[in-house]
Amino acid sequence: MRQVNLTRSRFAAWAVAGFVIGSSGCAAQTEAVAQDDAPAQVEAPRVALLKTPDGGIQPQAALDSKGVLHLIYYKGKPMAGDVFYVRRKPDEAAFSAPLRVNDRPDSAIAMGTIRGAQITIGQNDRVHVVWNGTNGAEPQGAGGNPILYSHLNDTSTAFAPQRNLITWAGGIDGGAAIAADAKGHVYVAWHAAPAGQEDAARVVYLTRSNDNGDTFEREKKINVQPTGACACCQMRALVDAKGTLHILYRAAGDNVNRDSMLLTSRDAGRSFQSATLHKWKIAACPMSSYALTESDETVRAAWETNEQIFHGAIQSEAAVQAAPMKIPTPVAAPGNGDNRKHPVAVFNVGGELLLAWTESTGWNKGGSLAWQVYDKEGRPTPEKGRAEGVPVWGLLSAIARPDGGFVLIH
Amino acid sequence: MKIKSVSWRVAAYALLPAIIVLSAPAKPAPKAKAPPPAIAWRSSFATALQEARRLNKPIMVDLWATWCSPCRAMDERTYPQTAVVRESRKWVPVKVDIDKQPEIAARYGLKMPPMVVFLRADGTVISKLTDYADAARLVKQMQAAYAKSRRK
Repeated sequence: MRQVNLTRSRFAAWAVAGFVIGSSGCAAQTEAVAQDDAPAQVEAPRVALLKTPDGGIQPQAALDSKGVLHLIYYKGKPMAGDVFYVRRKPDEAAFSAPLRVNDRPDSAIAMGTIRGAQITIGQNDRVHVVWNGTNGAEPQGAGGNPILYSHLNDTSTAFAPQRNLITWAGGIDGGAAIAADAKGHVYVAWHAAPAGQEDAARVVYLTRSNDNGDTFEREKKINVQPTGACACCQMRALVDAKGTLHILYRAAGDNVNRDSMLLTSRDAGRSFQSATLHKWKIAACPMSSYALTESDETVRAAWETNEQIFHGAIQSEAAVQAAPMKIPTPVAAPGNGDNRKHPVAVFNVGGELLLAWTESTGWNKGGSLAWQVYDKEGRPTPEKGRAEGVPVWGLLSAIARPDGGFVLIH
Repeated sequence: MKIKSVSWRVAAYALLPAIIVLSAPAKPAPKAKAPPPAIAWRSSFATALQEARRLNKPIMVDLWATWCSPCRAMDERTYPQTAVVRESRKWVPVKVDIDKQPEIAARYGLKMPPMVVFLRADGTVISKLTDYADAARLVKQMQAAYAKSRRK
């Protein structure tokens, strides 16, 4: 997600819109410091909560270069439903009418929380969406359920017909990740294995588009270490301002070493370096997901280990251009909570970080959300909070407002 | 006439071995190999609950999913073990596919599969196993849970 610079009048409208909609969503117990010198009726909370519109779940948001908020969400039965798209310009209070992303009904899945759609913004602010297809979703490809992809057309009136990106590496489970850059590259990564194989045998694959999503290359294996992959875990990807591609996934060595892994490519996905971010030995399916965000100089990852949320800055191991990337010091989210999962992280224009996550969710069970703001040096601030309102199979998304605040979507 | 009589004799001699073989007492058929012992999983949770109440036996609920690799490992390595099968006879064992019956998984607070829930005959929870277990660990937990189920 990009940071945007908007005029003051635009961000005032943004703040008000975020406050109004956020206030209508749920009652937050926030410990944020109040700003006393501004009129209460127009002051947006620093962290405004926004309920996913249209009764949707699993929101995923991205900002384009003009500050337009693009949002996708899921609607339908847990095992088979649809992905919808709405947008909101900086000076608008309401979202656009929803567009269905998938052209064939019921081809997306929400069950498990980690198989849903992801969104990214590419060249010319084109909106790209990827999601795991349901059983029998078309077009089918090798090895069962497809990885489905579509992009918004240039007039923003409809999505292109959904395509399956798997040409040979099928056998998906946990959700795919998507990232794009301003040069027309679109990357989609997933993990897969033939049916019946153990997680230790799963492999991470990548397909790349060089023409802003019009065509994709044949996928290739990219995990340079034979780590396996946690079948039930979602991936996340991001291209930073320098063009470096970062991909997070969970390993499954010996089926129990479900460590968080970072794959990094500095050559547009041609080659990768691999690093272990955080170890987690567990003989179960953690159903986890990841977050990646960037400020001017820093890419930060967030993840779950043993029901706690951690985050850290991705750095080179040495002051050498080609040195492997890793996270030297993972930081735990403050406090304790039950079953912390599904982190989101976003920087604002001032370099402050919002870290948020779900708590107390379970199989077929909703829960609550919690958040913490960090200053630009990475220290937790007094701005933190907790609220109910995460629906069954729900997770969070977040964007930074131009006024330095945040919108946390649930 | 003589030719006819000789033909009969030849035919009788030719058939004699076959008659002897056919009239010999038949060998007992080899016994079909007994299938390996297996847990008698029930597929209906509601029926298992009724059965448990009727027989006053505790219930062992396996919450699993087709995509869950540790669940498959339990099926392939743990559950077929003789000690586990023997211990399972004290229980009403039932398998619940969490994709098909998510409400049952939610009822017992499933966070991540596999999970085995041990219930008293009245359906109240005794204990839970929340990850993959080998036979020794599972049997130990089954025995402890069974002992608790018998206490008033």
